[in-house]
Amino acid sequence: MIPLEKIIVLNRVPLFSALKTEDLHMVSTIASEEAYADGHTLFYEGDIGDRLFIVVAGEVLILKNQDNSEKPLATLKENDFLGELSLFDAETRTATARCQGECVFLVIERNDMEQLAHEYPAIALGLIKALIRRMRAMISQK
Amino acid sequence: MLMIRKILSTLFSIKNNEWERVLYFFLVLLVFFFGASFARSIGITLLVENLGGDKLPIAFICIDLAVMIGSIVYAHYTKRVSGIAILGFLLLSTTVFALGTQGLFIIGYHYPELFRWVYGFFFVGFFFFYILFSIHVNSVVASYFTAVQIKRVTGFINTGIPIGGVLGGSSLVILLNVFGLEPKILVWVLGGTCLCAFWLVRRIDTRVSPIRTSYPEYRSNKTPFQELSHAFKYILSSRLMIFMSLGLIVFVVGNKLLEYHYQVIVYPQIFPESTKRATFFATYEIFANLGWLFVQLFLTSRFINSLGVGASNLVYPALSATVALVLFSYFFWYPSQSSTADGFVMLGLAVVSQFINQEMRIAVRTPLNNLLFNAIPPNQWGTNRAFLNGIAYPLATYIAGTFLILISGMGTDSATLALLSYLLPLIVFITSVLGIIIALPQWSAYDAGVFGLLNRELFDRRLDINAANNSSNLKQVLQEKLNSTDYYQVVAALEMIRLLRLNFFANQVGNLLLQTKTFAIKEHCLNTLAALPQSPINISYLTEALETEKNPDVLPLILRNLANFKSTHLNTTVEKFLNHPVPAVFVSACLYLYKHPHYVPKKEIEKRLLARLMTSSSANLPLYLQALSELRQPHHSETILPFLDDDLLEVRVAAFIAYVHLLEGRLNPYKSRLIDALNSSSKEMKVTALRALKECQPLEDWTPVIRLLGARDRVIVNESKELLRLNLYACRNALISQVFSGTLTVQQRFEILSLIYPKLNELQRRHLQEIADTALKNFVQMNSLLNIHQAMPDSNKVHGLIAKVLQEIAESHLLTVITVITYTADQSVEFFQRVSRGLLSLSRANQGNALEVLSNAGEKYLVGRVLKYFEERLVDIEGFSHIYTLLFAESLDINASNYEAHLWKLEHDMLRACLLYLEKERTGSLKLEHSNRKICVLLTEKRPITQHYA
Repeated sequence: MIPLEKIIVLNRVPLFSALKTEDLHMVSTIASEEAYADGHTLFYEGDIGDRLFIVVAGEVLILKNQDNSEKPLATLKENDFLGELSLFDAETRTATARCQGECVFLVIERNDMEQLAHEYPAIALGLIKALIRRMRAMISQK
Repeated sequence: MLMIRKILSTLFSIKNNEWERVLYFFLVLLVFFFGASFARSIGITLLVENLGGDKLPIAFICIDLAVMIGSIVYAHYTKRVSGIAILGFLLLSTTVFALGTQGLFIIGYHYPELFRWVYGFFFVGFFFFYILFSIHVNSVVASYFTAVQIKRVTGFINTGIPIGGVLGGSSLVILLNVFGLEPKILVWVLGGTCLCAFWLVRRIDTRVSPIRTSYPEYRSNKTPFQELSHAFKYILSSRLMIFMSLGLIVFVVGNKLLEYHYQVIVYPQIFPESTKRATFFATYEIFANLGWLFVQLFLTSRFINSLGVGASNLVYPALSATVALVLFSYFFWYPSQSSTADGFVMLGLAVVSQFINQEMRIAVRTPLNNLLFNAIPPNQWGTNRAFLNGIAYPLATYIAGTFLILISGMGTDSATLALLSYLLPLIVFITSVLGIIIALPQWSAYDAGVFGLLNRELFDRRLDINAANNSSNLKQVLQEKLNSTDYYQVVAALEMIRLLRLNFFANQVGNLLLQTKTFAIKEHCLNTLAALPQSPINISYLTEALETEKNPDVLPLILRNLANFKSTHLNTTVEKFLNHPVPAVFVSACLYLYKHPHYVPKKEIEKRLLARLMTSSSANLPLYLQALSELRQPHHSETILPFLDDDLLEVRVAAFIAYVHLLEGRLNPYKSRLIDALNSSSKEMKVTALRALKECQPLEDWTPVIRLLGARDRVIVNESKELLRLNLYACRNALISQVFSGTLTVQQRFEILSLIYPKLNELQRRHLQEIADTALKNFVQMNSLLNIHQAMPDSNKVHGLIAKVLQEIAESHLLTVITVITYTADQSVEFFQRVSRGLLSLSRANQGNALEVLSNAGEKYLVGRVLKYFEERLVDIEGFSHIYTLLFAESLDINASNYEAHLWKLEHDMLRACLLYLEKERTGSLKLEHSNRKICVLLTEKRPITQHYA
């Protein structure tokens, strides 16, 4: 993917919606493109999360462990994303994610994101704004 | 119909998008006051007729008491229920009350003696609902408009009151005199009109949404008395509310005394017969209502808009003072009961004073006073109105009443009346002057209040902090937190002790340092001990920590802290750390000993450090370089030279910083090296270079420093600014030529203006205004492009990104306008930040507050244009075209067919990249011939994909 395409993908993720285009450009520099084969498990339920996955191509099956078997919860497609909050804390994954067919992702590591946010506070501020927006939406839904 | 609407819009300054709300509220007032005029006349007639006029004072006391209690309950519910729901409830209650009373009147017709109390009940009950409705309806109306809109529309909406009153009064006269109906069978009219008003309120609730309202999280669970006591506390902490309360008390006293003057002294002398007096009043009512309507429709909104809310509040006390002074002057020379007094002049004076006291109060003072609530958070409106009307108003009435009773006690002989004829106006003049004096600080409190509302969070937090300050158990709370098992609680307590320098916690912090195993807590303990005043307690804990601590990350912190205590002799203990394997511990020990006044073999320390520097791995080089610089020996600069060109950025940065430190005071010959460092990618290097340049001769070319004014890092910006400020005489021309160039970012222009604005001449200031005007033009154009873009189908990948870029370009133009307004109006950075945030906010209430702050700023030309733009709700390109022509007297050459050509004309790398990408998707070829490096990188740089295949 060329940098502009990465920026286009990032612009569609709500977490980055409050970032300026120049900041999106910065984030695009730490986003790497990764391809996985059919059936590859991105992470298991209970794993410690430290990466955000944005689906660029393919489908991802989200599975939940119930009675010693995996029950499908949802299927994620292009422009969906997984593990958004792993960029902020090291909480465990709440479900398992497995590729269905060949998949391509844009991946951002927590450490890279932290470093970028440290270097460019405007990015951290943009992420906080997006999270607050979401929090307000959740409060008003209650 | 459209034509009529257009004429009305121009006449009353009401925008197309506001008409629906304006008309609904106008009708609510008209309908309610139609019924109220029936009830008012019927109520007083029946009361006097059936219970006697002597019961009137008791009825008034009952009304005051009922309103007081009602206000407390009302204040309680304003925090729990929406304003429109309360209004609906009041109207429904009035309907039930009116219909119920009508039933009682009918029953009472057969049992007149048994049901006489009903007349008093109706009188008191009606006025109770009437007053509560009048208090509340203003809050509801205000919540459906922004702070700026309400200033324009309030005049028109309030005309519903006199129109409703006149129509109601006339209808009643016709029903009574032409149709011969009895008053007591017309009470249901009030119920009917309230039901109609209720239906209108329901329509408002379903068709339009409030703009300013309290958030659910602010809704409280306090009891009514707690609410009122909270309102009282709020009033005490709010300058505006204090002045509003004082202003109300002074106004009510003056108002009542003036009323007494014309009703008791002047009119009875001119019209001794009650029939003639009643005829005069009826005639007066007609003309006075027409006058009121005229003022309300054509004057109130106009002078609010031209003077602003704060200044307009001076109008009423000024009028009142003038009329009181004229009355005093006349009656002082021609006392009312004397033969010299001219009846015609007296009548004229009485009519004018009654008009100002009665009609102008409702047409001018009441709406203006309501607008002051713009500066109060909407969630405080209810309780504060309840306080003003339920406590301050009755208090003022009692003061005035007591005074009038005392005056009445003086007798009603002609000598007393003659004395009162000029004494009362004199007192009214004094209260009016007091009103003016109060209105002046009230004006500044209002401006400050609206400004404060732009930062609601800060506003609310400040209240909480004030509340917290009242608690005396801070010490106990901190002790509990220090003993907490929660890491964050402990750190918070330590931070508090550090910031407040609470010395009595030294023992507890010291013990915590020795006991805790957590590095972060140890670090905070050491920082706290360092901030506390030096004492044997601190030293003893630090010494013990140095002896017992094993963690190599903590030891340097302890050594650095101990280095501040020059009188302590720990050299033997510290010398042991010179052999410590961890570089940070070694360096800290070296620096401790080197800086200690009693340590002699300093040369040995230098040698050891240099030896480590020469043999160290790259990773530790920055540490040794920094330590070397702290020795402050200029001859070591030669040693550092090779490291300035090291491959590792960290080493280069550390070497540069050390180099500059070592050559402090003699850096001028190395200026070019410092200027080169301004282009470094390292923030530390830039900051060090900027600081070092302060002690050099002025630069020949200031461009690299001016460029850094646009840096994303605030420290770099401040250092650049400081350097320019120190050399302002030398760099002034460079700054002036830059500020008028079109290539500056908003931030750069803002910072440059902060340095040179006072030095600009008139011509340059006009030029700056032209730049702002062009920026406003570009802002409208960008929004037009954005509007067309968003109307197009989202059929390509770059659609969303282009929208974002256009939004950002528009924002930067708007910020340029606000920058110029900020400096032209002599405002602060805070003003710029809050107004920008407000205008760029998605909330219309915030936008309205920002516009209100702008309109109070003191700059008229640009602000007027910004207001015009923001007050329109632009939804299509025709709307943009209209406002563009209105503002710039030229047509907008942007439409769906040429919008892409306009996009290509914009100088923006990301946008250009998007357009080239789009073109590539359409044609299959990427044309990068005229593109700069950034665009090429955006469109071509491709990193290999990481493949995870089994």
